[in-house]
Formats: sequence, structure tokens, C-alpha cells
Amino acid sequence: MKEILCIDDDELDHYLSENAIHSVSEDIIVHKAYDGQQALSCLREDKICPEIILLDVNMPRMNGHEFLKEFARTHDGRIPIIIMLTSSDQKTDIDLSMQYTFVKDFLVKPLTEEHVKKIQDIMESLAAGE
Amino acid sequence: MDRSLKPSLNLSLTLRYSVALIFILFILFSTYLINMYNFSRAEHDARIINISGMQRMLSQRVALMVTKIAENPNNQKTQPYLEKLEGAQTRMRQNHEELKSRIISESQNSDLYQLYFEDDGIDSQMQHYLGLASDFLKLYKAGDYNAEKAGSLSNEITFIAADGFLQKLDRAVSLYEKQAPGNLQNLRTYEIYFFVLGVLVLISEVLLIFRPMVREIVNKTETLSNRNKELTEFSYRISHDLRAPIRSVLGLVGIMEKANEKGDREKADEAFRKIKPALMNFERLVEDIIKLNKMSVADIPEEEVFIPAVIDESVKAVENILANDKVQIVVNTDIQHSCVMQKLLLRQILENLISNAIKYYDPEKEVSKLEISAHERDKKYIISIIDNGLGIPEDFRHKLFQMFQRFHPQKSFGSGLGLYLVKQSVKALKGDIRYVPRPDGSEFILTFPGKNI
Repeated sequence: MKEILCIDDDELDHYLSENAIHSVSEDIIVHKAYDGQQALSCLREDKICPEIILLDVNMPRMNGHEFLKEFARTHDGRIPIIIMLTSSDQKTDIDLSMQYTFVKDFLVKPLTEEHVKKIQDIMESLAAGE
Repeated sequence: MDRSLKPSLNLSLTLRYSVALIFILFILFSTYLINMYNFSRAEHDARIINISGMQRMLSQRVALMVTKIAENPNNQKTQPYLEKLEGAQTRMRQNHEELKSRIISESQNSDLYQLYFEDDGIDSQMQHYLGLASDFLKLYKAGDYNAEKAGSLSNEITFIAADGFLQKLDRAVSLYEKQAPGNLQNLRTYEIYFFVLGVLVLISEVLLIFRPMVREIVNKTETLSNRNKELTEFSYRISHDLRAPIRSVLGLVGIMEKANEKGDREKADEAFRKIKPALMNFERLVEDIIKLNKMSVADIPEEEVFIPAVIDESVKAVENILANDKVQIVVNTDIQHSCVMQKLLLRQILENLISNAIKYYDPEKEVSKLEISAHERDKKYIISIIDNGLGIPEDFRHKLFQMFQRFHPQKSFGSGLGLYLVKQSVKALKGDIRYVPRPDGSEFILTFPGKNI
């Protein structure tokens, strides 16, 4: 696991996520986007290839659900694993995002070291399955 | 917000309903009366036809009895004939009086009137005929029986009965028969009038009562379900937005604890510095929520206000809070008079819009400006707020006045409730607010009715 893209409108949440990720491994590169649209243009134009995307739901301009819809529609190439990271644990939010096969988990903020380790486990089991 | 509208519509519906009910009652009552009159009239007509037919029969019976009696003057058998003759004669006279008085009271120009009262009409012939019959009876009663006289009376009676008298009585019967449907025809016309009136009442009931009522119910249900949706969304967002900052602060505290354990003083300080702004954001959000709740619950009092003064107050209040030194604010107004309105709502609207213009100024512009102009037109106040700030991207304008929308990532100081609050306040003022994009910023146009003093 080398690159992660965090999509969140809150600077503080970015700080907390980055902190948790780096406490597990200093080597992981963390990219930031502040809403769905910015994330899409990062992925398209800057050609970053994160293996994992951490996605918030409630954001200005383009929220998490809108991002998923747009991303599923337009993305070509290898689809990264998406993990929802949000302060919402509403069933509608969970159901709406988990219907995409590339969404692998639904975590409640803030990101912790345990979360990061869990993500690593998911990655490993997926890699073993391939 | 439309509380003032409800009772008046209810009242007018009640009024319309009462009028419709009175009309329906009137129609029912009138139809009842007409029917009653109809029945009695039909009964009466039948009776008259019956009586006139009886007269025809009685004229022949009188003649028959007279003949029988005259044939056997001394026979014992004449007694019942005499009685019958007297009965027939009395009956005939009574009937005649009844028919006569009715004809006189009803119409003097009818064929019947003529038939009765022309020269040698039914009336004079009847008097004559009954006179002869009573003379005939007197011969027997008085005991001075005179066969010759009886014979001549009998002859005359039978002659009249067989001659024109019967035809005249016949004709009377057929005239009565003809008249009866004519009476009914008038009533039928009335019935048609009332039927049409009834249909009109029903149609106006549909148009004036049923339709507005259905529309009112549909509107109200829609408003309620929208309001309900809004509230559900609100409580969901509130729970989400209240939890998030608390968890974030807990996260920061966790980082501090770990950094302290490791003796990483720098990291601990970094996390500590982030706690205060996070809590301040949290406080702002709670304040907005409280404002929103207050607005829907409390009735904000109306007071006398001079709008330019309210604008100045709002500008000063916002500038103090935000320590504004970036945006030049210009106010121009031609409003001369005070008006009565809910001042607090206007201040809430203005302060929100002004603070947005300051928060979202465009640092790339040389001079940042905010121009507020207020005018009075046709009993309406128009306040326009123009800035040359960041503006709002086209795709997001439709969400502008919704709850929890923020349009400037990385600049998100707000709770996302500000413009929603503005919209609610504008609604409470029974006004309207529009967003007009400008090539170099934004314009908000606020209009609301004002009560002049």
C-alpha cells in the first residue's frame, strides 16, 4: 500500500487521517481532495493512481454519493478500492455506497490506526484472491 | 407562515357553504310546495271532471224519474221515484252552484265561462230545468195533483234533457278534461326552472367550494410533506454535523496523548492548536441551529423601523465580528419613511448576506467591494446586495438556499445553514429573494412588502 487519496471537505479530518496513516507507515503517500469534483480532476488530470480512496459523504459541490456515481460512470483503467470514511452511519448512506462493488468498507470518522490496519488486511486478502 | 390565510379561507368556505345550503333548502322546499300543489290540483281537476260528468248523468236521471212518475201517477211505486228525483234534483243544484262559483272565480274569458253564461247557456238552462223539476215535485207534495200539468211538465223536461242540454253538459265535461293538462303544464315549467337552478347550485358548489377545498387540502398536504422531509433531513444532518466535530476533537486529543507519551512536544502542540478552531466552528453551528429553531417557534414582534438604519446597524455588527478590513462597503438608499415590520428578521437576512460577501471575497481582485442599495417601489422594499467576490458556480445555484450546502471547499467556515436561514426569514417576511450571477461576483435581490405608517 503506497498511495491513498483522501476526499474530505474538512481540513481537520485530513489532518487526523494523515496522522493515523502515518502512524502505521510513514511511507504511504497521502493525496488530498476537498470535494468530489476536485477528486475527479485529480484522478484524471494529475494522473495520480492511488490504490485506496477514502471518501466522505457530506461535502460541498459534489458529495460522496455523487462522486461514486460519476466515478463509476466515467472511470477507465484500474479502479482503486474505495473505503467510505464519514461521520454518518445512516443506513441509507451505507446502502447507497455499498452497492458499488469497488466500495469495500464503511468506516466512521475519525480514521484510527486500527482502521488503517483493517484496510491493509482488506488489501492483502484481495491480493491473495486475485 | 401562511397562518393568516387559513382562517379567512375557512370563513369564506363556511360562508359559501351556508349560501349553497340555503339555496338547496329553498329548492327542496319549493319543489315540495310545487308537488303538493300539483297533487291537490290534480285531485281538484279530477273532482271537477267527475262532478261535471255527474251533472250529465243527473240530467238524464231527472228526466227518467219524471217520465216514470208521470206514467204511473197513482201507483204506490212512485214514492221511491219521487225520492230519487228529489235527491237528483238537489244534488244537481249543489253541483251546479259549486261549478258556477269556481268558473266565476277562475276566469271570465274562458270557453267554459261562455258555455255557462251565454244566452241560453248551461246556467240559464240549468235554472230552468231544475225549476221545472221542482214544479213537478211540488205537484205531488202539495197534494193538488194535476195530471195535465204533470204531463206537460214531464214533456218539457224530457224534451230539454234530450235536446241541447245534454250536449252542452257533454261539452262542459270535455272542456274540463282539456283544461286539466294545461294546469299541469305551468307547473312542469316551474319544475324545469327549479331543476336548472338546482344544477346551477351544484355547479357553483363544485367551482366555489369543492375545488378550492381540494386545492387547499392538496396544497397543505404538500407543504406538510415538504416540511416533514425538510425536518427529517434536518435532524439527520444535525446528528451528523454535531457528532463530527466532537469525534474530531477526540481524535486530536488522542494524537496529543500519544505525542506526549513519545515526548514529541511539537506534534502535541500542533494538535492542540487545532482544537480551538474546531470547537469554535462547533459553537457556530449550534448557534445557527438555535436561531433556526427560535425562528420557527417564536413570533418575532413587529416594530417601527427605518430600513437604512437597519442596514447600517447590520453592516456595523458584521464588520465588528469579522474584523473586516478587506471589503469596502457602500450603502445607498432613497427610502424616506419608516415602516412597520419584523426588524429582527431583516437584520438576520442582511447580516447573513453581508457576512457571506466578506467571507467569500476574492483575494485576486485589487479592490473588494460590497454595494447595498435599498429602494421603495409600489409599497414594496427592494434591497440589492452586490459584491465582486468569488460568486457561486452555475452547477450549484439550484442548491443555494438548501440546508447544509457549502460552495467553497477549503473556505468552509460556515455551518451550511446561513442561506437556508435567510430563505426562511424571507419567507416569514412574505418576501422573495433571488440570486443573480454577475460577471465579477454575486447579486442578491431581496423584495418584501412593507406597511407604511
